[in-house]
Amino acid sequence: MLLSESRKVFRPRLKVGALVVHLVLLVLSITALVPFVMLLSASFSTEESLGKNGYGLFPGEFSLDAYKFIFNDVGQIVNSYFITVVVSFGGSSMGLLIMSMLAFALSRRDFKLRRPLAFYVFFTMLFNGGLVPWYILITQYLHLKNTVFALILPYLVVPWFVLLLRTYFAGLPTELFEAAKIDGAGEWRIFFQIVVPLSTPALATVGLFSLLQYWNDWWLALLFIDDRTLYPLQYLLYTIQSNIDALSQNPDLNMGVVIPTQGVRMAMAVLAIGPIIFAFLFVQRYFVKGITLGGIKE
Amino acid sequence: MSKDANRDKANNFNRRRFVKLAAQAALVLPAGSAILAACGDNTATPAGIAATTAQAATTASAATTAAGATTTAASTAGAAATAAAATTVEVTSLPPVELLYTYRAMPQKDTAIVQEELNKLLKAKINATIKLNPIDPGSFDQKLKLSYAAGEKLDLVFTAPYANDYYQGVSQGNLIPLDDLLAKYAPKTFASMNASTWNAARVNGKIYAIINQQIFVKPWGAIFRKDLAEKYKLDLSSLHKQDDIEPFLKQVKEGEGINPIVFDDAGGSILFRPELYNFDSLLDAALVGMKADDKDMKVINLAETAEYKEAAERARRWHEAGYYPKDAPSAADATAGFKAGKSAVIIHTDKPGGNIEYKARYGWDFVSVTFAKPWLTTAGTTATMTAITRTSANPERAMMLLELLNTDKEVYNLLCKGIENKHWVWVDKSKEVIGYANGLTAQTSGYNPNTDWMFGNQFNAYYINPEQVGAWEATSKLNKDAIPSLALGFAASTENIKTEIAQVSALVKQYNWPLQQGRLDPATGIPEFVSKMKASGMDKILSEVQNQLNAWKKANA
Repeated sequence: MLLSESRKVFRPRLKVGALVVHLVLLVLSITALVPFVMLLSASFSTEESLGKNGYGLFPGEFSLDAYKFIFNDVGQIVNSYFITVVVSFGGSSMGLLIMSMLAFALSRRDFKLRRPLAFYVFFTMLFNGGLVPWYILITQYLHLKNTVFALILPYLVVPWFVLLLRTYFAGLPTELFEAAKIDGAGEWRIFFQIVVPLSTPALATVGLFSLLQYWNDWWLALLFIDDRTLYPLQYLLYTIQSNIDALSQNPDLNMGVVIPTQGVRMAMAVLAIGPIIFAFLFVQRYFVKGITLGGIKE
Repeated sequence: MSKDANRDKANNFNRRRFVKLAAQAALVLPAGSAILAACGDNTATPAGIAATTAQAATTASAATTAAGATTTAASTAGAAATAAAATTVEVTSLPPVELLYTYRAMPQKDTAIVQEELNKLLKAKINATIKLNPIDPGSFDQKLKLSYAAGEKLDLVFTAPYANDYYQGVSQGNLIPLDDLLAKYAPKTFASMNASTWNAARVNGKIYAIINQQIFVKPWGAIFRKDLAEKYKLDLSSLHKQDDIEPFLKQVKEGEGINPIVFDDAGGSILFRPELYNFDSLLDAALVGMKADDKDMKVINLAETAEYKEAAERARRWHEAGYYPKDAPSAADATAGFKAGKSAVIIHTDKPGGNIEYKARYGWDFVSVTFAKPWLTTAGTTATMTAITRTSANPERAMMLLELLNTDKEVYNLLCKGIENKHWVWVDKSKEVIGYANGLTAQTSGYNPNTDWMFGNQFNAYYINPEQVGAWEATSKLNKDAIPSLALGFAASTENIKTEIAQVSALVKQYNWPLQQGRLDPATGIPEFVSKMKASGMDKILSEVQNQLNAWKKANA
């Protein structure tokens, strides 16, 4: 009796609590969504209406000028998308493979070179040769200038991700490996059939980080790519933006080039979000678990 | 004992294991990268093929044009055309070279085709080919710095005090002195400007870059929307100084209900401009200057001058009367607002043909006046230049190319405007007016770099608007008649005063625009500005620049 009564009293309270929480979350998500909607609407507005009315939730005067300006060279955009996709997915999957193998080796206590190798990885987190020697190495010794590899190789192994994975692998029970060994499994089999399936949260997290790093990168392209056919998307957008700025400062405006400056900026942001937003949806379920990696260690 | 042995065994085992693992990895990794390489090759192939075919095409065409050149040379040699024969003999005796031309512009779709077309001309003229290397403005400085540092081979580079810093290039030894080359291989370019003008590009007495001719002077003035000037019967000939436009501002403000002067957060329409008051701004960013005709060459803080105060007071008056908008919008917003009719007056330069450019930007017809004397200063003259780098293997040929870019209209306009009938067509050949080729616009044209001033003597450029005809002659005359500042050629080295300049320019950004746009009361604003400048090391800047100027004066006496 008492119990059920108290339950009855408790229930509406719970509902109020949930309502409050939901309201707060709703407000939060609206504050996150509104700028995004404004961005979308601004990218579809005319430059004049942006100047006159500012940003709004709906385009003041609907126009596709900004997209027309960016898609002036459709081939280039498609090409850059292609490069970015190849670099992002190729680079992050290659990187994930190499980093996880390295991390697995580092996580094994019975691996003799563990300490020097770990130090080698850790050392590069703190110290590096500096920009110019790095540039010389890549352009004059490895001859990677104007190749896709210049966009992939430098981010293949990120020490921070290696350490993240190592910590996770170290948390796996060693008994499992021993049992596998007794059953006749080699190191490869242990890694691919036992470690990898057990580590999906960590691998998904690192994979996503790595994917995002490749996707968002324009710095490597700035340094090493002159050939427009190899421009990744982010660098292409970066150059479009900087070119607009240069154009607006160009004293020779007599060609009558009128650019929807504001709209283009917004349209570029929309384009850059592109398919990568779906990557979140796919790996989201692993993500929370992956983020709290350090916490699960006993 | 046995335990130890066991451990040893285990260790051995592990070591062997590791070696085995490593060997396996060594097998797998190259395989992986080979797969990757295959992907890379796939993506690269079309480009590769295109490049090779383009190369084949150029060599083929080059061969034919070279053959053509020699046959014409043979026929003209018979006619004893001494000058022509002399140059063609020289050309055929020159070994073929490729020159890399690096400049600050967005790459155009048809750059490769224009380059091919240029090479046909250059092959015949100087037996050289050019490789155009446009770098986007956003990456230009960074990429060039790395190129210099890595000692990469470059030939021609665009340079100016604000992009690919000219003085840094000289002091770091990246650029070579050009005096001898200029006299020998580019005599026409050298003769095309007043001898005193070249002084602007001299560092320690030597020229390290070829000045591209464009407008050197800063004819500060005011620009009015034509419809309103006519509506309110503005008499341009009655305007001699900024104060004179006040009645018009009042009429527009009252009659149209708008804040007539356009300005933005990037500093538009500020009233104090050094040249307007006969100052030569030696360090524009820090408001350091001198009177351009001051024989004593006294370096002063421009913010402390009576002229500065006067301009700021005028700006304040205009601000309070509502002639300026209350707040500074972004440049894009200001432009959009102007297009929508929210503004009427620009306080800026009134250069020949300038109103057409304002029209392109703001969408109105304009009339204009200038209030400034045409002073020739270092900053105005060296705004756009081309230099030859230390790593160039062929500086002589690079100079020959520069001579062509500055004197040969065909070569120059090919680089500036693209290919006839493909990118542009004649509108009026006798007046050298061109228009876009069939159906093309500024946006759809495959080649429209729109930066004539970067490639050479802008006065050789074809006009793209019939209304512009004569603007180049007028500008050239303005340049030639300009009064050289007594400090022409002096450029302050900021090496020892970097920190102070950074601090003072931050203050200038913070105070100068609001003061000269009337948003800040000069009665309190200027003393505050000046005292903060002093606290940030303005005196050190002044004395450093003064010392440099004295030394320069002595060296150039």
